[in-house]
Amino acid sequence: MNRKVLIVDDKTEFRNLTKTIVSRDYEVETAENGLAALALLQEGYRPDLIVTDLMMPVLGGKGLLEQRKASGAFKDIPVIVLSSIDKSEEKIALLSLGADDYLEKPYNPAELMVRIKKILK
Amino acid sequence: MNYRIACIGSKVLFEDRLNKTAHNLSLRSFDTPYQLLRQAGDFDLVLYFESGSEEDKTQLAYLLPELQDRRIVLFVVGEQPDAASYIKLGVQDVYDFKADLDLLLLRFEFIRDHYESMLKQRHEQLPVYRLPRWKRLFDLLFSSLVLLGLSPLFVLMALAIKLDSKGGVFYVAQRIGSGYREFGFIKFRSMYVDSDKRVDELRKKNQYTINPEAAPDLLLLKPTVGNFDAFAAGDLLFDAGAIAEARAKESTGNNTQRASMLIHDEGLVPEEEIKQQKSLKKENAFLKVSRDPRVTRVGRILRNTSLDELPQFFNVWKGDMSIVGNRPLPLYEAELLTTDQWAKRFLAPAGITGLWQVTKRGKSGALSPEERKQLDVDYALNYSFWYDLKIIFKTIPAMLQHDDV
Repeated sequence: MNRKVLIVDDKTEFRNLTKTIVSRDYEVETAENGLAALALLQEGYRPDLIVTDLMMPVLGGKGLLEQRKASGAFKDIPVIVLSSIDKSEEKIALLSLGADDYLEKPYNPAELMVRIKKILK
Repeated sequence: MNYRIACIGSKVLFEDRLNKTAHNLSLRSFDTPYQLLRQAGDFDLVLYFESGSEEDKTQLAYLLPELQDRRIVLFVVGEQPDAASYIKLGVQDVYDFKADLDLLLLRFEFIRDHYESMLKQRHEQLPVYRLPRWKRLFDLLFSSLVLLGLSPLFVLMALAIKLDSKGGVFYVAQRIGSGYREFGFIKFRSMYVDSDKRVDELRKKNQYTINPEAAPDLLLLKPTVGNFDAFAAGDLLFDAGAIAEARAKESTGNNTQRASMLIHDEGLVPEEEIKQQKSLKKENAFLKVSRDPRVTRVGRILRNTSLDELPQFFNVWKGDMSIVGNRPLPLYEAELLTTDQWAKRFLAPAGITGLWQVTKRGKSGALSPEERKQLDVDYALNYSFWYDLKIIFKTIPAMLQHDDV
């Protein structure tokens, strides 16, 4: 059975490109912001990995991480943060909030695939 | 409870709607404020219907003090009424004919219930800017002495500026000064008169600046989405042949080597381009600070020595600002500081030197914007003659350090 990846990003173009890339090896679902992702999760959708942007309207990546941490049901789903923020304090904060990996935008698709594979090993 | 509402300049349709919205209303109509006041019934709310003529304002100005004494709420209703001007006049609220009447009644109840505290707020004494007489006297003496003493230097500098470039000797900028009054902040001119035009010219010549027409490839992305399927199907680390070839054909160079492609918010970008853009950004910023082409030769000397600031003593002499005080700010900056937290800074006069100019040098690092703002407020609350003298004495060594004062 194919593993499932949830991609969360508010930019349609970016979401589609990333989906095309990741779909080569995984079954992909997308959400346009943290809240939409949360709704999917609460409906019972359980991806094996979440790839999320940081700055999104309504609920950003940070908020999503916090919600995940507080939840019982999906707090163990690994998360890769994909964002154009390049400050190391920010990266550290995210990783300590429970993110499993951080990748800077614009990202190299091959790198993303390797990182996903590593986490889902 | 029954609400007694008076309508002036009645609009039957509106009253009808109002009656239908709530049943506990008793409405009475009057033609003029005068009629209403003469009949002297008791009311909770007066609705004034705008006639659209100049008369509205005079009628309301006549009506308002009477109603306020009797704690009657006054709303204006009209066709797209100019709410700001009515509220300035003292009207409690302004509505359109199409207004949501439930909201109007809610608002009315709120105002009625809080009338006392609203009145109090309106009459609460706000702190007022007032310049102490000793300070003005000191400013006059000090600035007169400086202006007299430096007048030979002024003449020389004026000559140098005139000879160096076309234009006047002084440059006047609008700033917010003492008591939040706008004034012309005088400096010696250090830039060319048509400096903005010069910048445009230089920008065109400047090879380091990205010119979108000359180098379209440098700017983000042409739509590569059409080729994307090929890319996604190919080797992910390097782009699929299709994109590389297309790009190589567009750019005249024979750059056929396979480029690593990155995924950006709007699409695909070659990694090389991203790197180039990053370094260009740095270079542009550097050029901007290092040698501003708008500054004249004499101007550069004046700026480095802070001598261009000397004409501010004219401003002090005229009373626009003080010797010691908070920095006079450009309009847009001053506006940002009118929040409750920082507005107290304006209770002190504007000044040539101030607390943060002399505090900065004591420590090694620069002050944060918050620290500066706090120092301004501190000064406004604490200034005195001796405090001012202390700041002046601290300013002299600071000036000698060739920092901006």
